[in-house]
Amino acid sequence: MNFSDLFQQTSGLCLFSPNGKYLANCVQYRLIVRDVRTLQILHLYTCLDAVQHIVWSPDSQFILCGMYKRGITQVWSIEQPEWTCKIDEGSAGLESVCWSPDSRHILTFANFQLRITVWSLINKSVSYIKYPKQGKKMLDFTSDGSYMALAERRDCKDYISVFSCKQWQLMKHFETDTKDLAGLEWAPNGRALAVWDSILDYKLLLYSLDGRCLSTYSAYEWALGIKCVSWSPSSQFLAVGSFDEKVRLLNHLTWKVIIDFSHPPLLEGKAVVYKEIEKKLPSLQGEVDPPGGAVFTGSSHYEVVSERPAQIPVIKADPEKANPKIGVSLAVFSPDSKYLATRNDNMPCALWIWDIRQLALVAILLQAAPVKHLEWDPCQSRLAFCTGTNKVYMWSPAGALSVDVPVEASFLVQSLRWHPEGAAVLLMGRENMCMCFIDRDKNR
Amino acid sequence: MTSSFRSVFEDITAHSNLPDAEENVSLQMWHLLGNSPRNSPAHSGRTPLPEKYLVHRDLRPGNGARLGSENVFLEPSPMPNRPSTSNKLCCSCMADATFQLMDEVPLFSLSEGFCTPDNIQDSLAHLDQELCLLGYSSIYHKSRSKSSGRAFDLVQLVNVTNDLIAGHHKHLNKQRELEDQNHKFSSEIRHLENTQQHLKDQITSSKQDEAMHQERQRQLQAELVSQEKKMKRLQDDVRKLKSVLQSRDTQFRHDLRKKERELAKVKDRLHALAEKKKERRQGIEILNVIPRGDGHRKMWKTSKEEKKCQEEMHRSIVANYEQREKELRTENQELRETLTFLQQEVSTVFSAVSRQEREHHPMSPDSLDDEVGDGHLQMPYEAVQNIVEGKLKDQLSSMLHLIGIQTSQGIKERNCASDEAKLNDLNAGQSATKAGSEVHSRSSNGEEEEESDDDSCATPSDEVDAKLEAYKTLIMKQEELIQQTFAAAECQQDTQVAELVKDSLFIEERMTLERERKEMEAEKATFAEERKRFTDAAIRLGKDRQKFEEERTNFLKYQYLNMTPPQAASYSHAVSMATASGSMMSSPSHPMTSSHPMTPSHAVTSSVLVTSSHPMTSSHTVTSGLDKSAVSSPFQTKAASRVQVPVTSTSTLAVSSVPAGRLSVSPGTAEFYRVLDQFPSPTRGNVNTKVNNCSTTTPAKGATAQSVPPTPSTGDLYRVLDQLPSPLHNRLSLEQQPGGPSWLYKNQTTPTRGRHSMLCKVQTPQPVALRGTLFDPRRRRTWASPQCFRGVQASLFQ
Repeated sequence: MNFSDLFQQTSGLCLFSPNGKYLANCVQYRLIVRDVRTLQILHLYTCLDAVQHIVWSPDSQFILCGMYKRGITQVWSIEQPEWTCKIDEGSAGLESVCWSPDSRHILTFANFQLRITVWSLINKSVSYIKYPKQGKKMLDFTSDGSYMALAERRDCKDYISVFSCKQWQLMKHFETDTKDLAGLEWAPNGRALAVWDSILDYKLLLYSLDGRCLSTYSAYEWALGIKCVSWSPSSQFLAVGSFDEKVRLLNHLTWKVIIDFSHPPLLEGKAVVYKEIEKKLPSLQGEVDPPGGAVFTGSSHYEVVSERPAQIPVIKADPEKANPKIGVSLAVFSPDSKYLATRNDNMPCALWIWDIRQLALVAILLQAAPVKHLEWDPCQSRLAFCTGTNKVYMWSPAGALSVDVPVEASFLVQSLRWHPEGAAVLLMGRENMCMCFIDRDKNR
Repeated sequence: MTSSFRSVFEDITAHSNLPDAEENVSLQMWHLLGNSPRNSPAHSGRTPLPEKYLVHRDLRPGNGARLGSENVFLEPSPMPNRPSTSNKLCCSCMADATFQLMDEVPLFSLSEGFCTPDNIQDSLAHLDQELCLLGYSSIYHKSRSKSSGRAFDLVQLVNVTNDLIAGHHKHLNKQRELEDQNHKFSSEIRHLENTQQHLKDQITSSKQDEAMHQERQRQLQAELVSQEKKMKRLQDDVRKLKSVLQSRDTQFRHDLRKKERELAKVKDRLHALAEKKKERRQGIEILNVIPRGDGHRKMWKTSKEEKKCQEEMHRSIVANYEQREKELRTENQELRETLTFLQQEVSTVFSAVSRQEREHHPMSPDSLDDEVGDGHLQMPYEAVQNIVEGKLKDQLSSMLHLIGIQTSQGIKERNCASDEAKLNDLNAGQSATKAGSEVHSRSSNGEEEEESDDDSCATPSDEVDAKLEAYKTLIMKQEELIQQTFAAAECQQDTQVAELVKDSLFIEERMTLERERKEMEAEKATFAEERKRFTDAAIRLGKDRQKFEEERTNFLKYQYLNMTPPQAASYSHAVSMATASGSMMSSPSHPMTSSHPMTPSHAVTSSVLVTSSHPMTSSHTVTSGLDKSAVSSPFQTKAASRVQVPVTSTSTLAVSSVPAGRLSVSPGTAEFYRVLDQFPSPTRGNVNTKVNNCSTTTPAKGATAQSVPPTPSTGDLYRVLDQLPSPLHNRLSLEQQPGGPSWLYKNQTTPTRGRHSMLCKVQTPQPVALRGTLFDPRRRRTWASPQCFRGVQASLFQ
């Protein structure tokens, strides 16, 4: 495991290109494209304003920079650095922007979800889609990029429109049986579309491509409902995390619940419990702890807790506040669909890893700080995550490890991203980033 | 006690002045007394014999000698010098008891004045009468009764007295017994009375308890009622709250809808306004449109296209369903197969066991008829569901029954060979299916084995060989199994079947072990191959060195013979590098650039140029490892990658450079440089190193520096070495970017590929193990702290 130097970046705007060759990052109004292997700057583009959002085109040829404050999107080409493109959303304002799967169209979302504009880079044509629904996961493309599902709201009813991405033609338009649709996601094989209701109602619906409802599922009533929905890469399982601190696993054939994984504060059973033990640096006489607290933490290591029941630290959620910090908000499958990593929000320091084949908890990692971000290696069952300290953590079925990032101690890892080929991890702090190369051959 | 008695008795005898007869009696009494302690060892106050006599004899008027218990006799003793005074300690209560006793029992009272010397005859006569009345024989001689009155017979008197005393004793004993009994009864009565009292108390307390319980029950009942009421109220509350919630919910939704409608209106208005105004600003500015990814132009939206799209969608839907159906079919088929396999296995084991069972118990029912045929399992399940389920259930229950019998009874007789064969068949079948060979499960038979071998003769030879091998191993295994079975049968007849079943359980494990062994063998083979390659390389290296030595001798010879003037020396001295000494002294702050006048000094991206010129050698240039892509780098000039020193009558022995710098070091090349260094300065080959922005590590040991393969053969060797994917190849690769601000080091073992093949390779003696976090601002390189993950990495990354 080797680490590069620190590079500047702003607000976590660092992305690997989908083909894994380039690394784009933003420093205020500059967009820097580097070679992933050498980290050498290949291109440097200067945008009109501070960049707030960047997206690679799926073919890794273009990169778009969203400047929401100005309502402008700029597109840059990797192959032709002199090529320019600027899209101005006008007075409607810009809220979000994304690529279409063919890399030749750009979808911009106007403020207040006024409309979605589809800009063609092929012939400058513009199309509008009215009445999109407000929310994060309201639009999803099938993995082969041929269809787009979009949630819409008309006359206080939820609809889903399925567009063909080739022609931007509406293929299907159907009403969903939801009160307030909160998100939708295609199965990776494109055969089913999972649609779920807002947190006020636990309701999950599955639709086929042509809008037929395949199944409806509701675990309970009245209480706050679904918090996260995640498909397994094999499309065989659908994990639904909810406010009752449970993850329910649905079968892809019958859409029945296979099992529900609960997250109890006292853990029995055979699962391995890793506890992070922090070694404090010996302080000098008269030394006062810096106000930042965790800035200069020492190294840490994992210890296996063998006593049962194992105690998992729990934070009591405040019922007075909206969106209480309770329930499973994160459920991510490993790329081989063998493991599921979850985080329960009222146990922010614990990371749960479930074995899907055994339908059992396989490990639990008790961190010293709340888990901020986690991501599976795209090539194997290896999980990397960070807790906002100067360490990066990894778990694989063989064990867990914590590695100090050997750069300035003020570099606190807030987020991380795997290289598409799994050979490197990009670690992002608040203003810096650092590449961590994992040499596979050497370790083999 | 005896002593005290005796003392008393002596006292009695001493003070009494009885006649001889009396003395006789007293003697007898003495005698009796001698026996008495033996008779009454535990008697307390009422020891009859000695006391009585003592009392009778000893009592004098006014001298109330009292009988005490055990060692206690006297309280107000008339003779103060008596040794018994020492026993005055006796407790008074006991003495009182004795008094009472004496008062009650008249036996102890003295009949004073009954017999005096004057009326002895009368007394005797009276006594005789009394005795006769009591049924004793007369105390007078019978013979003289008529004539001269009666003659007093003392012996008779003594006998009678003795009898009387004995009778008296008997009576006393009886009395005592009765008294004891009486006591017992009375105590019993008292006990019973107590018990009764206790029970009465109990009754009252339980009555109280009962009352209390009743009271509590009543209270609880009341509470229950109140709770029920409360519950009902709460339920009502819940219902009410629910309805409130619902109404609020609906109200909320209604408001939401209202708001949404308003929002939609606002949006529409906004849209309209935006449309009307037609902003100048809004739009797309694009330098030139880009073609579609597939090269086609954008198509017009026509109805035809739309239709096409629809068709496509439906096609994809149908394809999805087909795929799904296929998946389901496969899954179904697999499940069916599993069921069939299980069924077969169960029936095989079951038949073996049941046959055995039948041998022992010929009357046991034959349940093999229940077997479910394979055909049944392939039929539509709906049709045969009942049959299959019923049969399987029957089979299972009968099997459970059998197992129960077996465990309870145990198998006493030896197993028949056919059963073993059958079980072995099962095992063999499992192993065969696992191994992927198509061995039928009945192949334990030798003939069948041959047959199948014959069949497979038609297939290509290697396949046949493989099959043969598989069969052989199979046969061996089976033989082993049979042997084991026999052995087991001999030593443990009872657990034989159990053993077999157990053995079949281990088959999978064995298979995995076998597989592992195969893998290990394959690995071993690859290792051997690698070693061989290494030896080859070493041999080649040796040869190379030899060649080089020859070359060197030639060179020296040639040089000595010619002694040319040092033409090139004047400008080739600019940079001389002590390469062989193991330190390449260039640092990023002081880049050493070649000042060779003939060599155009290009600020090349960190290229290492090694030029060696010698006037005498015929002009020949060797460039190796040159990459075209490297040459075409934007700031690069071709000269940088390939430098010739066009000195008159000199030639470059070996010049090579790859843009990003690739340093390869081997002992052979170090040798080469040592040779070069040894040359006298005028004829010395110039080794120019041009390093821009480059800091090189100084490796730990002597084998260092950079070199270019001097001869094509060495180049070959390096290529060979490069291609070896071996763990020994721990090379430290140095990657650098000319313009980049950072340095990046990594241990690299990946084979060279593409444009990244340029990396500088410096062989280090061992994998670099720098501890901790080194942050060297001068070198600007960072290492992961290896101790963090060295321990875990082996497990983590395998």
